[in-house]
Amino acid sequence: MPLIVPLLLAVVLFCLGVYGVLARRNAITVLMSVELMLNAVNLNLVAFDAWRVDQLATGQTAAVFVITIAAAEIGLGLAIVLLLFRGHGHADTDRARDLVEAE
Amino acid sequence: MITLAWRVLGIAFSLAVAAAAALLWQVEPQTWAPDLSGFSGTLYAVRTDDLTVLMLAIVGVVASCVQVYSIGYLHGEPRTASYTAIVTLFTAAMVTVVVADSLFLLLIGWEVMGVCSYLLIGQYWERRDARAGAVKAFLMTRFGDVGFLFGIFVLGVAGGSFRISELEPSGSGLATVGTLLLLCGVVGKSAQIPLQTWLPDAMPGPAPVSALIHAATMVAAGVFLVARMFDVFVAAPGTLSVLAVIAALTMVVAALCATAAVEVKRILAWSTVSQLAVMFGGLALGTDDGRHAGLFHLLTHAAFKALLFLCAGVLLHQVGSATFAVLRRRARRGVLRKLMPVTFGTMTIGLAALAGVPGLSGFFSKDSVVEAAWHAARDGRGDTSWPAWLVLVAVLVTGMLTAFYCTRLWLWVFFGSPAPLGGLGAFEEEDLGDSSAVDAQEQPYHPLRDGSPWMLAPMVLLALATLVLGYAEASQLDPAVAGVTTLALMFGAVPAYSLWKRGADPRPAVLEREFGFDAFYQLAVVRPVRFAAGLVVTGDRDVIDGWVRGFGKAGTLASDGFRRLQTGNVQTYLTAAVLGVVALAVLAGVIAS
Repeated sequence: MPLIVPLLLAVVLFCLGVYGVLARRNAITVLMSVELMLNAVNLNLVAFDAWRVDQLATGQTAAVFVITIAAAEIGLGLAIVLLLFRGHGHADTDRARDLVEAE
Repeated sequence: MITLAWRVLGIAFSLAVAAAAALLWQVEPQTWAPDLSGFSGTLYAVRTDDLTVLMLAIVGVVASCVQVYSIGYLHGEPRTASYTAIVTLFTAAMVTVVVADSLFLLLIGWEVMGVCSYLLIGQYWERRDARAGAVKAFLMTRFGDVGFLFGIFVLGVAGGSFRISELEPSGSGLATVGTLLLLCGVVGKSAQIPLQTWLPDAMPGPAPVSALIHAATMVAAGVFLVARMFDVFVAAPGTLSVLAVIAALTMVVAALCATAAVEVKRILAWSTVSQLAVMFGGLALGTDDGRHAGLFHLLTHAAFKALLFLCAGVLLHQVGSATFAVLRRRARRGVLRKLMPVTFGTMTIGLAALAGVPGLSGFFSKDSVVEAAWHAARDGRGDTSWPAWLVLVAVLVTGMLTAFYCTRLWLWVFFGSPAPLGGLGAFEEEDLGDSSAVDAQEQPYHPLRDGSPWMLAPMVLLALATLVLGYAEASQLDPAVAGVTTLALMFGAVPAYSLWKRGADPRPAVLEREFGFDAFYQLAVVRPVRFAAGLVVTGDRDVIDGWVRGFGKAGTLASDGFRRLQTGNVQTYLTAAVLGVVALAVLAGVIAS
């Protein structure tokens, strides 16, 4: 398989993720979009690893690290969203603007 | 508890000083320096000789009296612990000055005394005049001390040593400059013209502090210093002539100011200035007789001036004020004399000694100054005898004026109305003829009585000292001199009596203004300094602070636009960050290609 195919897929996934993070209003969706971006990066790592035929499998190792960190991150992120929901009764990023600069 | 501890410590220390004087009595003069290399060995050099013993005795006895008296005087007042501690420190500083053989050790004691006097004069700092008097005393003595410090440098460098015992008296011009600079400090510390005005203004301090300052410490330090470095001063005749002029001028001017003052403590303060000038007059003669006479007068003056201030303290304590007008209200009917017999008796002794009544200590010591001046004037020192003549005349005139103001003080404070029936004397108010009005007026006062035993015991002790001290030198009295001074005494006392008898107390305006020294200083020093201080404040507030505030304001204004970007919406921020990254990436690509 030529290298360009997984790379294009990764680009598409990453752009989807960026769009989700920047534009979606539901905090859960935003978290999911973050996961999309992370996995796009993972795809890149694995693809380059395979392409270089790396004996030490550096790319795959890094991908495992990223998956681990992503798991921790989603745990933390969900906890924050949960608190936001408990405190405000919604999980809407547009309406969660407590840190706005006071006039 | 702390107060008690300090009192015990203070009295023990004062008694130890007196005991040290007794132990060192007639011990051979010695100097001692710690076995340290370099400057430290010089710095801590101490000595003992006749002068040290004399001063230790004065300081020890007067400080003990003052400490004991203070127990009664400050009874039930706040800040007694710190007061007692500072009095003790004051005494210790004077002892340092007295035993020092190193000029720098002397300077340390000298300056610590300045601080202590500032703190003690400001003991009642709730009162405005006390604060002002304290600051004035500190600033004026410090002003003189600048000259003192440089005098030490000049003398030490010129003489090759900062040990007093090693200073070689040399007649060089440098020695004259050095002694003149030292004289600045002496004039400031001992309140001589032109720095004399701080002493009368230091009167809001507690009376025992005044006794200590005027008798044993502080002002006595100036006389002590000249006596200590007498050889160096004698070798510089120019300085001695200046000292003679200052002394002659001061003793007459201060005595004239005392004749017009209307407050007991202020009169006593001016009399201190005047009597210190008499001591300086004796020292300025440059003869051993003169030095001896000056120190003898220092000794007797310490006894009777401490006594007089302690008496004035009892008056203040009992009547609440020591001004003539208030005292007359009680004294008009002779009440003070009858209700306070001990105070009356001791104060009479003190005033008689100050005036120089024959038989009392002040008479003998003043006569010895006159006699020394007469001998110096007759024999001449070197080729000039005018300083001695000047001192002689000034001391006689001062003796007359002193007798005048002592009699005036005594009569107006303690005796009933002298004015003929229905007449009113000075300081007396119209409505006092009505006895019911008097009683109504006196109701708020507590009944007058002599002070507590704590206060009376030191007074009696000092009165005894005043009575007997003079006889130490009585055998050397010259009958002719005694006759002349007694005549001067009569010339002063009789006019005072006759004025009082007529109920009059004329006070020329120029004397009431105390020759306008303060007004002049106000114009020449205080106002320019205030003006300069105002300029500095304006410069700081409007120029320097203006820049600082301007920069702050500019920063706030500049950041105002960015503050609006803080919308609280995280996604906006992220969008900006992503756009920034993309822009940077594009830029990097463009540059790379």
